[in-house]
Order: sequence, then C-alpha cells, then structure tokens
Amino acid sequence: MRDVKKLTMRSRSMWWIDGVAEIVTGTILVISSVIALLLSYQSLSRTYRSILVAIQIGIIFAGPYIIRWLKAKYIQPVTGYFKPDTRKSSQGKIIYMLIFAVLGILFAFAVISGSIWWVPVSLISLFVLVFTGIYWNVRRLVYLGIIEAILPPIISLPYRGDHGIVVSLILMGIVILVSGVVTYIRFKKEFNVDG
Amino acid sequence: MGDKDFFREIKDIDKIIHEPSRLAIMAVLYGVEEGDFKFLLNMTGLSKGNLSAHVSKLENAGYIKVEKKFVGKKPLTLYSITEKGRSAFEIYLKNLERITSRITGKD
Repeated sequence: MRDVKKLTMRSRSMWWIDGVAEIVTGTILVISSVIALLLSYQSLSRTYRSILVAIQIGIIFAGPYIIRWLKAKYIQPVTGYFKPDTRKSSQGKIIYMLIFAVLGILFAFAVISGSIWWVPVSLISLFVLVFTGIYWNVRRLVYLGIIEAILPPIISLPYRGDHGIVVSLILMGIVILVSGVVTYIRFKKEFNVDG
Repeated sequence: MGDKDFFREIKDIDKIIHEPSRLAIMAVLYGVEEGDFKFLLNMTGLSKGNLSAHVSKLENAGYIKVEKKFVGKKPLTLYSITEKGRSAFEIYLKNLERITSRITGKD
C-alpha cells in the first residue's frame, strides 16, 4: 500500500527530478539581478535602460519555454515523455496565479520607481518555494525555500538599499542554480546518462 | 462490519487493478496528466511485452486512454488515466486500506 502511494508521489514529482527548472530559474535570477544592478546606476542613458528592461522582461517570459526545450532535448529522451498533472487542485492554481500577480505588481512598481530595496524578496521566495515543494511533493524545494529566506539576506547585510537587495537576489539565484546542478548530477547517476 | 460483509468486500475488490503490474501502471498514471510508453517502462520497471499486455487490459476496462499524438514533430503514443479509472483507483485504495486495517486490527 505504502509502495503504491510512493510510486504515485514519485510520478507526480518526476517533473522536478532533473534540476533543469532550478538551473534555468537560478540563471535567470542572477542575470535579472545583474540587470537590476546596472539599472540602479543613474548615469545610464535612457536607451540602454530601455534595452536592459526589455532583456529582463524577455528572459523572464522565455524561462518556461527554455525549460520545456531543455527537457524535450536532454531529459525526455532518457525518462520518456510525460506531462505533469496540473489538474490536481484548483486551489493550487489560484495560489500560483496570486503569487504571479503579486510578483508582476511588485516588478512593475520596482521598474516605475527605479528602486527595489523595499521588495520582500526572501519572504516571496520562501513562500513560492515552500508552496511549490509541498504542492509537487518535492522536499528539496522546501529546504531550499528556508535556506533562501535566511542565507542571502544575512550575507548581504553589509550592503544597503538597492545594492543589498541585488546582492541578496544574486546569492539566491546562485543557491537555486547550485541546487539544480546537484540535482542534475544525481539525475544523471540515477538514469546512467553519459556525458 | 460482520465476517460476511468483510469477505464480500475482499471478493469485490477490483481484480483488474489488483494485479501488481496493473496497479503500478495505475499508480504512475494517477500522478501525471499523460505519459508515453518509455515513461511507463522507466517508472514501473516492467518489460515491454508485459507492459503492452497490461496496458491493453486497462484500456479495455476503460481505466486508461491511449492516444496517438504529435509532440513537436515526434509521433507519440500517450497514455492517461480516465475519470472512470481515477475513481476506480481511489475506491480500490480505500477498500484495500479498510481490509488491511481490519486484518491488522488498526481500524
């Protein structure tokens, strides 16, 4: 009985088994944070500023497509094709929509105000990662959420204002990226992937 | 619950799902929206012949749906659990839990 439930849980969490989503998310977070850092320099011309904002929005929207492409090219030939079950809970969908709505509003305000120091990033990341970990039954993400809420803000304490939050975001991106890489190495070992 | 009811409950347990290989297939498909043959092979550890045979039985019972689709440019045969299969699997798990807890005295 326990084995049956375990098999269902493993099947449900298979989408996260390779770490690709974390690798892409972590990379995007690091790039976005560097862009945010560049945007904080007042000497930057209007044209450069617009280009950087366009790049930032572009990579955020491209993220899910990059993940899907990487999975189709490198992961699914190994695991087989599957589509995660997103029908499971309508409550889950509502919470995800709310998270993205809040993130969208915060992002828009940050761009308009030209300042991001007031955005509670570690709390947002704690909430997103813990909720995602519970929703998809991936314990690693819950731990990652807790680490994200504590470690980057502490390390970035000596930096103040926008620079502090940018350093914190870069560290958060690196932590997610490292978690993704470790997961990918474990995935390769488990499925005997060469190269 | 009397002994007669208990034995009837054991007798009435869904025999299509009760077979271990088919139970594994149902458990895997319950966790995803759809998956291809290779995915099922990887997850269940069954041989190709075995998997084909059990998938056919589940399809004939109306518990899973087999669909030929294109994902990108690749033709794929995809398997998904039907509503009938989903509720049969849930009922099966509930019944099994009730029976085992009765036997082990944990009810």
